[in-house]
Amino acid sequence: MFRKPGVMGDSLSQGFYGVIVEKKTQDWAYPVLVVKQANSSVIYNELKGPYVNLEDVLKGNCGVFCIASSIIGGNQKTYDVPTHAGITGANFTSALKTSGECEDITATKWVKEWYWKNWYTYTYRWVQVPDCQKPDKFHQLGLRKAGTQMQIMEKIKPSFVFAALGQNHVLCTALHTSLDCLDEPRFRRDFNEVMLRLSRIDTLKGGIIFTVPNVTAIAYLEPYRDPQGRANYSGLKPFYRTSVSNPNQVLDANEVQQIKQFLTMVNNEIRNKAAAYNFALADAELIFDDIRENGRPIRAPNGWSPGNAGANWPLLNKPGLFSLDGVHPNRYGHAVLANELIKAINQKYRFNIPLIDEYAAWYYDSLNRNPVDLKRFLTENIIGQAISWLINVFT
Amino acid sequence: MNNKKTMILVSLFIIIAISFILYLLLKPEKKEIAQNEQETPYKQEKQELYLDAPKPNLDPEEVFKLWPDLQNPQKVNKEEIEKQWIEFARKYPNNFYIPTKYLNLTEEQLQQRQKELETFTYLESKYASIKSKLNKEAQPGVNGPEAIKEINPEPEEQRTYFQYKVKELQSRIELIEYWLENEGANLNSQQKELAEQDLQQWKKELNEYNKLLKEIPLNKK
Repeated sequence: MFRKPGVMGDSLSQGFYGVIVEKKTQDWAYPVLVVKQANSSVIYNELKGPYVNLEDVLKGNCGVFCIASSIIGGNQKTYDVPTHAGITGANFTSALKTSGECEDITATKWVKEWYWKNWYTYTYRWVQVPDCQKPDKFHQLGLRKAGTQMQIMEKIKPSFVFAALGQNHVLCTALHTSLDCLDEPRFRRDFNEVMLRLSRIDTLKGGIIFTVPNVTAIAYLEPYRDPQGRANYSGLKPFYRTSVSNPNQVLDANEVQQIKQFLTMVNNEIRNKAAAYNFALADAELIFDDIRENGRPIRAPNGWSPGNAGANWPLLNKPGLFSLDGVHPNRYGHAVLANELIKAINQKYRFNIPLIDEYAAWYYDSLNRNPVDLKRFLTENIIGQAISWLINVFT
Repeated sequence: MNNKKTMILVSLFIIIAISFILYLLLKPEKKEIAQNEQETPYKQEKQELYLDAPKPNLDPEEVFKLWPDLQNPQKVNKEEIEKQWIEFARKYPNNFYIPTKYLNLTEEQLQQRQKELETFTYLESKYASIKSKLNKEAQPGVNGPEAIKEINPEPEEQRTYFQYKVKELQSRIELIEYWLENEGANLNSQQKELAEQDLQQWKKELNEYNKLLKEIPLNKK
């Protein structure tokens, strides 16, 4: 089944790490780890940005030229047709529509076409032509000339596919502290189409998808209670705000409830589709809730432990799964996610893919071993730009 | 006698051959290098936490297979980085990207930065949210609304927002131009091309924000 794995996905699969995609982070992304454990491999266009690796910048390991180079971004290595096509910011819609060359391959515009109607009449008619607008850099550099994520899967004809693209249909609510981006008809329509087109790939023997974790419980958001007790000024605020002066700056209890309802719809749909298409399912929602509640044990073979990891970026004596954007996993977090996928694949297809040593992942995770207290750096201007970047990539 | 000599020579040859094969199979060279490299990342970062953390029970080859970056850890020259910032700050003392450690900021200036960050990110997230909403409702051939009732910032807020954008964009342009000036000869054609395209686009945006800034009234609405 792992003869030729293929990957569709979003920032999690591409290895976006507070706030950059680069070869190092692509190599530790969950599908790459799962595939390696299954003794197989995937190929992907290697990136060197954008935007910046906040960990490196805040530790003083990335100077003027390093920041400039990573803001511009580029490719370190490329392939004509990658087998791993996961792209930061992608969802089921962009997997169908956005290629490395066009933001929407289905978009058209009307243009005048001049022609000879007969030997004495030179005139024009309106014709519809493709309207190819340049996509964002992650698509440009990640997909290049290979087509959309969906087209790539249809070209490479994988034997197994990773197809988790649900996150960005919901994550925007946390980053915008707003419900405006929720779009149920679009999610249902495009998820259906992706699964249908995958089912038509005759080489496909199986796949995996996972549910969307509760986005209101990520490290990017933290609880806030209005000193005057106003309900619409209380709730969840972005971690970098010190106070709330407008109800739009928080997700109040009512909004959190609505996001949870939307999430329930999304996750039920994902569970149903996994069953209908005979895909393995990792219940990331359940797993993340458990980590949030109880932490994830980290234990060396001799029993030594740095403590349980939480749903936070690592702090002094407080291991964590997140990177410095409060949204995406670190090296250790990806190993945890990969293991949960391996368990789901093993259970569904009766395989025996070995789990990754999570202690080793923690041991070699530079952010866990040498944490950065991000809140001490909020007056660094680059943080504001990193947040702006994040808000606009995951819309 | 000759037979005995031949036997001894053959035995010696077999022993040497077996030893050589065993040496090739079990030569420690690769493993030793790998173990040394395995330790490198943390020597470099001089981390002082979890000093008692035991090494994982994972073969170095397995470690490097999972996380290839650990095999050739990035070499960081902090002195060189400091020098870069000092030289850059000399040329562009007001650049947005200079880390605070190279600036003598007062407590008041730091508080001002925090305030600007909060105003900027709030409006940035609201405009992103409005864009999502309008995209959802958009119909071909129909223009977007003339005014957005959901977001109605005060002139002062909007000024802070555009000033932040202008300062950041101007600084980003300076940063990239400085990089091209100093490192341009070593860059590959893709990065040069991307940088030139970006600079062109950013300069257009910068002009637009500067024009908008001038339109903002001085008084409250």
